[in-house]
Amino acid sequence: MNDIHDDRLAVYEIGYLIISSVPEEQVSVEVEKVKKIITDAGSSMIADESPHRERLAYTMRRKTVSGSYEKYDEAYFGWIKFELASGKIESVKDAVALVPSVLRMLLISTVEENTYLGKRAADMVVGFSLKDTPAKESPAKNIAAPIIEKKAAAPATIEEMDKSIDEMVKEV
Amino acid sequence: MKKQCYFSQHNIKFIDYKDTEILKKFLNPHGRILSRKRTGIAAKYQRQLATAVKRARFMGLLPFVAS
Repeated sequence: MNDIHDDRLAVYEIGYLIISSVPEEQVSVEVEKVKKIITDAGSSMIADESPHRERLAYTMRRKTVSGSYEKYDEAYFGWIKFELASGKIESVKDAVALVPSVLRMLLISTVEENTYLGKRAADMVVGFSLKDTPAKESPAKNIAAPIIEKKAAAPATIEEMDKSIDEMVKEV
Repeated sequence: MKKQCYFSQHNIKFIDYKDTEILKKFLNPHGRILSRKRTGIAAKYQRQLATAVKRARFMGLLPFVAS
């Protein structure tokens, strides 16, 4: 049963960060190493983006062989989308993670269609603000509102007021 | 007034973690994911959004905590 599942083709995407200490000219060499691991496993490439230098949102640390930590504020970010038998993906993941120049990698299961908007995303967000659209009213507010209205809609008559005054006098 | 889902409006079926410009719109100034009450997006896309933001954080494209 497991053999059937292992042979099933699935679409995966590997996003990776290459350390900033690699010179810009050498980045393509490192990318080829990653691509070779993927193609050697028998995958077919669907799409990819060559790494570009990017400032990281936070400092990443990596432990070296000597036990000290290397800190990185910048890295080259790239990704590769490919189709591969699901049984082979674990070995590919482990092999890519072990490439010395790869700071961090992320393997995700995805779809064949293009999901990355890239530069189109910038046009989509122009003029978009959540502040323009008010938040949905909570159900609690809707329940509370009619009670207030009821109180205001029922003014007391003179007879009712007399009755209540009489009751208060009796109590005293 | 019922709010329209941003992703349905723009015909986005899959939210990609690399589209950080879009993801940033659904974060508060501290970098936390806004609630569905605030975003007004469909439950299906709110789940996809949360996954995409978490992936982007792991890859250093978005902060865990914005200062």
